[in-house]
Amino acid sequence: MVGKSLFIEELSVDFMISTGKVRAVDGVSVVFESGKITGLIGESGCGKSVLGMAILDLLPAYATLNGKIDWGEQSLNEYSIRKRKLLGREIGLIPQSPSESLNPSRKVKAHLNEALRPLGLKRQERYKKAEKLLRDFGFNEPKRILKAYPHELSGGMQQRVLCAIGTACSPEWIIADEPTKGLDSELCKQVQQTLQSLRIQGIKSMLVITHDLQLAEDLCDTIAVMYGGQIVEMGDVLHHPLHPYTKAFLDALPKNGLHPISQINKGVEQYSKGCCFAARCLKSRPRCFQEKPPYKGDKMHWVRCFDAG
Amino acid sequence: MQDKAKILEAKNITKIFQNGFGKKSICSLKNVDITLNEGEILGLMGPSGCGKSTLARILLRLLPTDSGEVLWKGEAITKKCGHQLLAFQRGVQFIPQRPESSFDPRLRLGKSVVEPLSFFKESWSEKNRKRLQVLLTQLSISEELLGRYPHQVSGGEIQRLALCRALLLQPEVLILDESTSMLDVSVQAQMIQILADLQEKHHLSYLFITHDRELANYFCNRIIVMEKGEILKKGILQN
Amino acid sequence: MKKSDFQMKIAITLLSFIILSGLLAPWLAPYDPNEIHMAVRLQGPSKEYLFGTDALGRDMLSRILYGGRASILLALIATTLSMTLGMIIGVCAGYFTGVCDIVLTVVTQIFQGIPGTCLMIAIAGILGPGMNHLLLALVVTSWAGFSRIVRTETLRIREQPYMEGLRALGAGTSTLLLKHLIPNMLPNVVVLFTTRVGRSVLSIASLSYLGLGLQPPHPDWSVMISDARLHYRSAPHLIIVPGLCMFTLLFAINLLGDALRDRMDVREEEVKEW
Repeated sequence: MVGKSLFIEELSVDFMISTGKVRAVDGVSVVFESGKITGLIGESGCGKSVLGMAILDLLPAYATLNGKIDWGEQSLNEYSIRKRKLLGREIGLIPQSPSESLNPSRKVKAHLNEALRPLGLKRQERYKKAEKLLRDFGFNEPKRILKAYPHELSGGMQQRVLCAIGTACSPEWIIADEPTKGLDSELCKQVQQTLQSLRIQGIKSMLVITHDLQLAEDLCDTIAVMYGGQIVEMGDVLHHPLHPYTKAFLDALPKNGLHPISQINKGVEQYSKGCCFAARCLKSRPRCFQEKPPYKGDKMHWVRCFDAG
Repeated sequence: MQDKAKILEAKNITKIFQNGFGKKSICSLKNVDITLNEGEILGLMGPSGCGKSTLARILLRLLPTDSGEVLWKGEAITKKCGHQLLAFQRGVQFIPQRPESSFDPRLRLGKSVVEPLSFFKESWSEKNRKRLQVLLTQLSISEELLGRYPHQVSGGEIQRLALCRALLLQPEVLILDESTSMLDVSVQAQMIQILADLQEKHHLSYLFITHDRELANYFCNRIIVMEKGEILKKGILQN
Repeated sequence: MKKSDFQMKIAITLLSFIILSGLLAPWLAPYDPNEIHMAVRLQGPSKEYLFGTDALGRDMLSRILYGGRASILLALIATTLSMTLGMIIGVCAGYFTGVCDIVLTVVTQIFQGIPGTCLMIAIAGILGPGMNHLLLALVVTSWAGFSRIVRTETLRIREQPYMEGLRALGAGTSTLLLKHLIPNMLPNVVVLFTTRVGRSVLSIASLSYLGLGLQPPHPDWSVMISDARLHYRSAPHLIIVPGLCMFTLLFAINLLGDALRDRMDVREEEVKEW
């Protein structure tokens, strides 16, 4: 059965703050295909989390959204409350920071109960389903975990509980928002295994938002690179980088020599009409500041740059 | 090869933490020996919970030890306190992991950066002002940032400000506790470059605590690995 | 920012009005507040006596103008003293922990355990009426609450990473306490201070009502309310006017506390020259 892909067209997200308008996502057009695990990588402030939240309509009240988000043939922009309930069931979320995403005053049982409520099961059935979910995510004693409070579990266990909550209604899509942020290397490995096991659970499509390149490399089928609110490249970027930013980003890794990316030239407007990376790009030309670069390449691997391709 | 002077040493350190009313004791460090030579970058690696941060705090004299000695330039400082420790406190500085929590949130960064001078009874003189200017240039910090509060600057900027604050005291040793692990990849690269430059210019020695193997391989002269409170092996790298 | 600005403006306007009218009372008051005029007693508001007269024919307006002074002054002094005492004890207990903490906490808990109003009445009753005794009663019954809260705040701030960082940089105990610990506590303490001032005003009023606080013929709002007990059914203005004044004062104080707390939150401040 062919699943529904996420079609995003000219999406822009602006935040209204006291000093004016800040554009977090700038005219992003991308297709996240169903049946694949797509990684969305970028550094702090590039807008990747905002993009994820925009898809799920979890943006704060002072954010304004322009553009289209389609899921399959359904438009996600204009929807009623009823459709929104559908959203939570079909597209699941695994949020960041497990310790902050679980309610410390409620047991794991209560969390899973709440997640399973849309399925409309009876209480006994819900309990059994919760146990099965926990077993699927590697817990050997689900009964004990269900009775525990979040702070009684270790970081890795909390993350797995969050995964269980996110997948409780067997959604078609999962959006994982920075699943390994702030975790040390062992926990990262555990989280990676958990996410890989999701595939076996039957989750066909995933969007993994992260700045951890190792996770992206091991887990994802295709990777999109985001900078300054725009997606600059998508495809097998870690092995065949085409965009200057991706190349510079990879060069900054310790194994490649820790070369820092050149600094932003002062005096250049932050949101220029052209390419978002122009101010720091070593290959930039006047054209790069004036026009937005075109899409080059094919569905498997595309890049937005005047120079590449 | 010339024998380098030992600037900071810990000998036979043991630290036991008591939990509750002495019911449960956790042996955090067991007979740990560590030597930092002058002008070298010593890497300290290990999984979380192995005792790296505890060792760092003991070296900084923020925690007392149950047994063993800490030596600064050959002199034992474990028993000293108060103003006897002044030279040591000035000479060894600490750059922590979480940048945003190393500054008092209620003070503007400019005030926080120059504050430590007053701990050592130094006034805000013309000489110090010039030194600050030089440091700001070396660290690529714009003076505008000094008028901001800690929550108004980014992670990379605040780590550089923490460095600036430490270097204003003209230390000889910097203990960096996972200082780059919360930073983005490119910001980390920039920070490491700055650290390398500073080491040359100011003749510093670093104790670089990290869990990133590749980073340690790239940056450090020598690496020590710890696990469960004990030193596992000492790797010596040719650099 | 806007909301707290607006609150500040209202609070300051009201408080200035009250304080100024109290300060300028000797010039503003049309009559002598203590002058008895039995012929015009218990009159309602009229052209001659804007707020009417009380049971002894004294002009209410003049008494109101003079009346705020004692309460406000006393309340401020009492709250400042008990806050100072509470902070010293709370900070010592929270910062130095160990035996010091245990001893101070036990003492605090003993004082908190005694019912406040009873203790206040007991002290005032035993020592007799008078400003000093009133102050003593107020401070003894309210410092413990301050101390408890300050101790909790101290424990919280002490654990913050930047405190450790400052210690590593070489900061001494007095610097840490005076320049970092206490300023970080201030926003919460300020709000606490303003609510306590309000409470002190009410405590003074209660004691005066019982005859243990400020004594007649001293014009004071709480004394006026107390005096009105016998006559308020026929002359309600005797209670309404001082009651409203008391309410306005407490309202303004609380508003000020809220606005100050918002103002002290550095998250909203702009970038400046350092």
